[in-house]
Amino acid sequence: MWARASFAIRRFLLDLGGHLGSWKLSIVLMAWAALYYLFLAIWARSSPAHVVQGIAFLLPYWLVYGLLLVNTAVCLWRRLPALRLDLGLRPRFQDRPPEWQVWAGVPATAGEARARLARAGYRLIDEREGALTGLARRFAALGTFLFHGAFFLIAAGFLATVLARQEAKVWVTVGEGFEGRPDQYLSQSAPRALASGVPAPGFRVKDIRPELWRDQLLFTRLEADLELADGTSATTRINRPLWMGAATFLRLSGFGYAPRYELRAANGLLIDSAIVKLNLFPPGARDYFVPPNFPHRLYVEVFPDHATDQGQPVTRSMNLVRPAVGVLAYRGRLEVARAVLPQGETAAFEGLLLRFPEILYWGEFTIVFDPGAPVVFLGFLVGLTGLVLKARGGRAEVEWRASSDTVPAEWRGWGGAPPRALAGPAASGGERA
Amino acid sequence: MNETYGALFWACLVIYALTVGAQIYGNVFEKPRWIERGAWGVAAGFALHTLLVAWRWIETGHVPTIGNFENALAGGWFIVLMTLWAAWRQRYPLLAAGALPFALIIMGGSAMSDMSVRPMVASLQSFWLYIHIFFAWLAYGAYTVACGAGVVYLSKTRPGAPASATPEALAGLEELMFRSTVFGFITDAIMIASGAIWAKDLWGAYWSWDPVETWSLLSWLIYGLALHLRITLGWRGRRLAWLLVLAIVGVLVSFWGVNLVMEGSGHVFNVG
Repeated sequence: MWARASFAIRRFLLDLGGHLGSWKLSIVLMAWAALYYLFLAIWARSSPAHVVQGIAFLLPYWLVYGLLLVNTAVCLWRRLPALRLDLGLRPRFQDRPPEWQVWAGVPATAGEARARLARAGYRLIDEREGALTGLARRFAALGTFLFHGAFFLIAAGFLATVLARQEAKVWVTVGEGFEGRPDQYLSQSAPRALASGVPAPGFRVKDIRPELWRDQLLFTRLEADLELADGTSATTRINRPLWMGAATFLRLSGFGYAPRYELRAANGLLIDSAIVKLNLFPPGARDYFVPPNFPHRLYVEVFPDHATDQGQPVTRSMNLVRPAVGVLAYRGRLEVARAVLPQGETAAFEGLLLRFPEILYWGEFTIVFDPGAPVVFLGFLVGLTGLVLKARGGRAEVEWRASSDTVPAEWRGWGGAPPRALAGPAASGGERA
Repeated sequence: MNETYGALFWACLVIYALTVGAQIYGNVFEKPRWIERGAWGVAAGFALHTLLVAWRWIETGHVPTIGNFENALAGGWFIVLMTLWAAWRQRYPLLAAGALPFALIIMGGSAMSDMSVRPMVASLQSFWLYIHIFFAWLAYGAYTVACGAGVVYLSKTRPGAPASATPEALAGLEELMFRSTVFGFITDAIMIASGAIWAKDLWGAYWSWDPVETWSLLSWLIYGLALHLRITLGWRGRRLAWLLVLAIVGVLVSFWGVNLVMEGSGHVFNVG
């Protein structure tokens, strides 16, 4: 009874393994995945990325990913014995009928045949009386394994990203430091299963350099000089993040204007001064701040390259060349002042003098913790190495046979077409594929 | 863009269109000389096309990679180059009639977009851009050649077709379909990988399910499927040709269609 049950279980597992490792299943799963991605691509037409991302992580998608990995693993496992043979230096195909044969221009001597094999890139692996065997593309089979094996690395990295990726945004003005205090964060992503916050790499912003093309919103430069916690300096650009550890990187993802205001009494005594980080970019955007202990709300707008056109303030370019601040001061609902203040000029209202002596930049820095990214990139490297190894085709063997009384000398080959370098001066004709 | 440049660009398109027409005429009416002349016409158009690419490069100061127009100009150049190379290697000039219509569609479509000169914006100032786009062009060129070979193969093997192609020529076309697909698949993989690395730098995430990303992955998967069908199930001949002809749709959509009909892609060729 037990023997029969054991046999049935073994048989079932064998059958299951056979199905899970079949090439037909691979094709069905790839077609299935293609259909899913088609659906996703169509869905992406009208939905933002996070919605599409949400769909891509639904159970049916995980099911396909999982089945594809299982199928790949079983296929690779079943091909392991063949891989050992493919990587070996013993002739592998000679028990099969040749895929091509050439009789014309075949060298008569083993010495010449050896030279031609070498010229064609074949390594001599077997030499017998009247026969030589050459091998090329020995590691091609390893390429298949590396390419398909890379999917596991990519999947592991992808999973690590899903479970642990964290992102935080901070606004830091030139001259200001970031120490990771909770009040310094502008936003932070929700905790994930394997991570509940981003590391806080300390840094101080030394300079931010935005540059825009003419009067258009096209950045030709956006970079920031930083002083890092260890005292070293580094520059980060909009598309060149700084690695701050194995899985953490810091990138400059935006910028804005941070005007410094001064409020003075009528006699010139400084009452209040501060730098305020506002959403004033691109020009035309308006934001407000409330000076502490004052009843006023100040709406401001920046003209980075200020000029006047028909009595109206305009900006000639997007770059901070001759900045001026347009200000609108309210107390309650009452407008108490309206002015455009180039640097150094002052607006007076309700016994106060307001001016903006300087406009600094703030940078939006995104701190990303993604332990999956390096793993995914390693997967890309492994997979591409595999593709390159496999690019020219599979293992190829060529056998030279000397002429006998009844049969002329010939080349016999397995894998690919006859290499031209094997052909002699009279190689045309006499070929059978 | 100045008027001379515009006129030369349209002249290039007209030359390509005429040569494709000549080759189709030669194929339908069995006039091999027209096919041969068509191939010379493609070479002439390609010389003009090369001049246009160089002109644009000098005028903008960067490799033509910015915006729909420049992408199509350079992408089309790669398609024609690879078609000419494959036609010469295979000694099969009719291949141009199968592959060039896609270059015409892409370039003609781009002519309707903004052709003005744009600077190299900060987000694109990365060597990953060149790796990503260079391999994208190689991949799309290879897929187009595979598709063109498929079109010619289908026309030569359709029921009732005159036996103008030798079995060797048909075997050569079939091998070209396969080899081009393998080459395209590898270069496409490099394109996707380099794009992901660049996206991590630029957007902070290596994969964002952007429409272009999704379509590219879909296209790659379809070509992977085609290769599996060819290698493991032995799909050859007309079945493989049909598959490769249909698969080009995904490439066209990811290269051109996504930006035309969809909003919300952060991909660079929107800049133009």
